[in-house]
Amino acid sequence: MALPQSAYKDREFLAVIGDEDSVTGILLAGVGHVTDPPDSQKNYLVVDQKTDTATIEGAFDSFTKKRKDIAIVLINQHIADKIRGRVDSYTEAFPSVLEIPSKDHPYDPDKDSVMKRVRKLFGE
Amino acid sequence: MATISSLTPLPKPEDAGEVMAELTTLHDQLDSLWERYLAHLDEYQEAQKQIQKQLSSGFFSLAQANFKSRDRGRYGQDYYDGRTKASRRCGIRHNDDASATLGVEIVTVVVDEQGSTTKGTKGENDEKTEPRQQPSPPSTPAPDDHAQRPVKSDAPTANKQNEPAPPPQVSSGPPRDPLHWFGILVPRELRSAQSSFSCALAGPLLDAVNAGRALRGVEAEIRRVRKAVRRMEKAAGS
Repeated sequence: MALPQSAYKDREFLAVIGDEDSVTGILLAGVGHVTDPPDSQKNYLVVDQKTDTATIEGAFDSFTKKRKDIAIVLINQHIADKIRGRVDSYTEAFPSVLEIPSKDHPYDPDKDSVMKRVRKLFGE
Repeated sequence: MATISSLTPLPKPEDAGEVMAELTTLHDQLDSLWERYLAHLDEYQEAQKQIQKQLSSGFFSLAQANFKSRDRGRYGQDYYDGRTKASRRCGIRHNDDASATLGVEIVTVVVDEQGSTTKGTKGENDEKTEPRQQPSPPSTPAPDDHAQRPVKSDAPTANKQNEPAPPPQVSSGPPRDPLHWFGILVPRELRSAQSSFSCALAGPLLDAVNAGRALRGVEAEIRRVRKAVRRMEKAAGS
């Protein structure tokens, strides 16, 4: 049942995918991290109206699959909606994915992937 | 409480009495798991409510800060430090209790001048030192290094580790604070926003993450027991 320690021992950063205000706020709390060059990688993505879905998917895949130093991925719920299939099908133990509200989009439990799993379990 | 692993492989009951007894045990375990599941679900929903509350407060303060400095531009990505290092990171611990879940907590990182990092758990050590800003060496050794640093008297861990080093190697730079990306004099509202987001991160956000992880774990156990119940009911029926 317990995960091997190698699955999470290097995971120490929070990553955030969100609109500018959400990312600014989370970074103000001190979680922003840019890895050393030459392969500098940010642990945040600011999404605006011009950001295409492929970029969001790329960042989500990078934080959840490629990078081994991310422990938690925070994503605005309205942005998670744009890549809903990927978020809902994500089942790994690490990193943990949490949907958070943004300034203009309050949290909606009906869209939350965690609550969807709950409803599915109750309905079985 | 018996673990689920103790249930598999299922025993082959000899008579209907044994099957019924086993079935009752499984139903009891299922009830107990549902109880745990609902408790975690309540934690998750409560944490989401708190997140909404804390982040709303943070967004409001940020909007106020932006309103106050319209001539300067928004407090946003134009000002992010492209070389920033995280001063708050996750600490993952393995619980020893029967649930065997993993917890996540925020740790504050202390960075010394050589770039090595020391971690302290949440609230244990709020001190951070700036690795890039080299202080000019004092002409005479400082009599009391602690007096030069913005350090709390109850946070001596890093200082103790640095004691053998000569005084010029110990940083006296300011704490690395993301607020400084936006200038030296930032509006009070921006500090307020920082406070709200920090509180959300250290409290309800982590509670929600941990509750979500716990839900996932119990969910798997419920599925396993349900399957066992179905197999047992099939055995009882045949």
